[in-house]
Amino acid sequence: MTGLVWTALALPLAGAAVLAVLGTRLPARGAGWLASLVMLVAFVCSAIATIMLASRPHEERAVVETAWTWLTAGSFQVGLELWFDELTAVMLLVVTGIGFLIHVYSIGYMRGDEQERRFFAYLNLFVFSMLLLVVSGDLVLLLAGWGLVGLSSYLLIGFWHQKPSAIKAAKKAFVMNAIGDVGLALGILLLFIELGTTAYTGVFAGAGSLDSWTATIAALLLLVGAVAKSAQLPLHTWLPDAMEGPTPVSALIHAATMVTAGVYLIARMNPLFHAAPYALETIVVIGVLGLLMAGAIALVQTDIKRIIAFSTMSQIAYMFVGVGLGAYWAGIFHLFTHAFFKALLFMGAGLVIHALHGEQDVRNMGGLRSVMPKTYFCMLIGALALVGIFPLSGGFSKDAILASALEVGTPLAWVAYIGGLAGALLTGIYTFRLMFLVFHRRMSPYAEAVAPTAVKHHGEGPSSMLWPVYILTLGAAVVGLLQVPGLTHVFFDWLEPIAPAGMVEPSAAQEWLTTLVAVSIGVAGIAIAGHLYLREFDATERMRLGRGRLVDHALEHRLYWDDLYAVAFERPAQWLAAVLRRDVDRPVAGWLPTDGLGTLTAFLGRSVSVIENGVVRSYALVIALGMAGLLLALLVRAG
Amino acid sequence: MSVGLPFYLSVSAILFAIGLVGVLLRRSPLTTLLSLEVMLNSVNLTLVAFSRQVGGSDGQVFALVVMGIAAAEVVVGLGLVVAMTRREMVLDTDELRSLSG
Amino acid sequence: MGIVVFFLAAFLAIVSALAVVSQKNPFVSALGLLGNLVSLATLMLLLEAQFVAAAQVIVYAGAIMVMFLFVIAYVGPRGEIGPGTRKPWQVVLAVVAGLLVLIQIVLVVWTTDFGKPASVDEAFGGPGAVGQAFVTDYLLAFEGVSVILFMAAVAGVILGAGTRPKRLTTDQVMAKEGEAEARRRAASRAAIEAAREAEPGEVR
Repeated sequence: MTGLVWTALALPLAGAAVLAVLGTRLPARGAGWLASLVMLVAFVCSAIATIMLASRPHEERAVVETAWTWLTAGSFQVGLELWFDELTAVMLLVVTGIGFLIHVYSIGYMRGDEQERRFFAYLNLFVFSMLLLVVSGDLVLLLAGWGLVGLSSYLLIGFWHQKPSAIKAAKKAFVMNAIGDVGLALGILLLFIELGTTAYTGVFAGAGSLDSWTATIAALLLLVGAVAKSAQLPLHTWLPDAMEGPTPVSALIHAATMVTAGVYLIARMNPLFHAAPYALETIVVIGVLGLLMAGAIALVQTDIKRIIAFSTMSQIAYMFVGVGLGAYWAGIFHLFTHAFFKALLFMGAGLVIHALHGEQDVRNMGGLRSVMPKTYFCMLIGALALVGIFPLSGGFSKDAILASALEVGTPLAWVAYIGGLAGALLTGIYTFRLMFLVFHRRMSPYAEAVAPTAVKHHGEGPSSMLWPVYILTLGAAVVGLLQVPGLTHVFFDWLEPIAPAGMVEPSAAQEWLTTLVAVSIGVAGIAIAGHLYLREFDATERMRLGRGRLVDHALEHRLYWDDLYAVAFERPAQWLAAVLRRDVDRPVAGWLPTDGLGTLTAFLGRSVSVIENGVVRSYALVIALGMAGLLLALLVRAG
Repeated sequence: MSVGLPFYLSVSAILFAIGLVGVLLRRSPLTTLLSLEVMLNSVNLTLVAFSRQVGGSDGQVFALVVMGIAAAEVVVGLGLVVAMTRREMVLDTDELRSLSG
Repeated sequence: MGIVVFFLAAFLAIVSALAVVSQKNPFVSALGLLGNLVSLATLMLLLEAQFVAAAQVIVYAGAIMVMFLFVIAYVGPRGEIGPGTRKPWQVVLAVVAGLLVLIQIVLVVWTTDFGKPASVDEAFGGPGAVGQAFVTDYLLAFEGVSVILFMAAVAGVILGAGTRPKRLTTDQVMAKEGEAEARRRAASRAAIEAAREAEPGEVR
């Protein structure tokens, strides 16, 4: 069983290595198929391993295996440790399964790009990093995976490196993630100082014995990492910019897998967070603020991918609320369903962008329903799942989170409940604003000029792009049935053992009540969107939520977070650099003779280089004289 | 008077010095290599002499190892000489000075 | 008896070594080395290292020297040309270095008391004893030498197979010769023309 997991982990790395080494010796199309094949095999391995895990009795499901020890310092050891339990299995299946579909989709999406092979090499590298992150049984190893996903995300966001905006976005993502990495690393160091180990087994066993301050600080430091990776407040500004990367990248990394790593980390470290209730409350607060803020910003965005990106941020905020409330299973369940419908939405958006020759502004779309009926249908399913309409997948998972808030019942939980319902309203509005602007109303002149001919010639997309979308559509529709309140109980039962301290589980009545309320609110949101955006629309008009200029301006500028960071960090740094240059560097360096040091160095170098005359004999002479001198020294010492 | 270890070592030292001076002064790569062989041989003699003195086989083993290394070194050295000839270069080690600083 | 053989062999070894380093002709130098090797093998026999002495003769004299002679035959017995870049101070320093090493070693050797040589049995120095040590205690060294030899063989092949002078095909040779022929004819025709113009009357 572990052998299969090792295989799943090693295959993408091997794929990336082969693609990188063979490079242009591979045919361009072959690279995509090779990478996809690798992913398929990895998925099959993961699936079989999961089935084998499921066939074991409950108590024996957490498997730990150390391949070898790669870091030893005193009594401290870090092994290449594999940790395979129920949570790992879920993450493995999501990463390899969705990853496989997105690889296949990329074959069509990237066709004709000159550097297709590089793309697939990066993509495989990313999958390896993500798998390393989820299967590691040691925090240090997790940190390695954590850094590697950041690296591959950086490489993929900046994939089109001829675009300055892409490079800038990649840098931004990298820097923001580096802040998170530092937080995570400090948290791990603190745990190591206190517990003397970084292996999960040791950390979980020792988490209870930490005093509450230490546990809280450690948990908050880990949370910094989680917040940066999952694009939550206040380290979220990189995610919308990350949409500069190719759309499959957005679907895989910035929707389905990497950005959910923060949720995974919190769920995985639940024994630690259990010992730090303040940290859990912080998570809930971050989640509620984030889901409202991201939802509101999504209302006014005009770039189709950025709308979905803010939606992703908002949905991950829901997951944060879930895990923060102690309903780890609900957070992971939402992660699971979200991977399906959000990847679906991104890939649908990719089809639209493809048909419109790279256009991403929703104001230049419209009326595509008649031109691209298949895409419309699939995205409609995805959108309904996102809004949480019964019985599609998103509803079950989101309502599970909200119902857990009811079950917890503290004031903060009530805030989360109300905030979550408000967020559901926003979700309904922004999702269907997107759908209506893209697929309904009258076609914009641009879309009219481009889309019908493109679709007539190429269809809605090559089959390698359409089939993954169909499969995801099916998944987005049905995976929620794993956990229907009162009827099926698969997901909760499966994940129950990962939290030794127990998980919050709402009653069926609470869930059905929440579902009723949330679905009504979602439908209301859709109605509002219809009222606002289904009428005739002038393409030049700006997107306005309401009449208030101030609110519009604030939302269009994403609530000024970027400007805040510019004022808080960028400007002071530039000012400091200018001051140092003017008042420190110039006066001090001005004292020295401008090239005195250089001349001296060059002179010394030239005089020494005489020895290096290139004649072998003279080198040998030096050696012989040295040997004679050495012997002499020995003789003198011996007397 | 019997011929003891110091005699052998002295012969070895003389040979070593002769070889050393040859390596340091001769410019023809062929002669340099031959002088090098003289040095290696003198060391072999030392090894064997000490082996006899101590009464173990270790020194002899090392003498054989030195022979193997000498063979390898000669192969490469002669290969270089042949390559130089092929390129119609002057057979003079002092001409090979592209490592000059 | 042993003393006589020792001094004879030592004398020959030193003389032949001097010949190796002093002869202008590398061929003579190589022969000098041969003599040196045989003298040393004799000394080793005196030290009861029969197997090493035999290996010395077979491997060195038989294989390595043959290689040397082949190469010398290939490149021709070329000595050193001209004074080169050898400077007087280099000669002085080289001799000083050699003498220093020699004096120091001799000094140490003669002031040290090595004690009596160990007593050895019949098997000492035979192939059995040496081989035993080789494949037990020194197996790693043994394998290391084989790896180095292998690498040297590869290096030798690569060095030897390096850029060859380009061989011309027959057609190319004939074309070249044809060109040369044509050029010669053109030159002679031009000469005849010139001669005619210089003295028109005479030719007619």
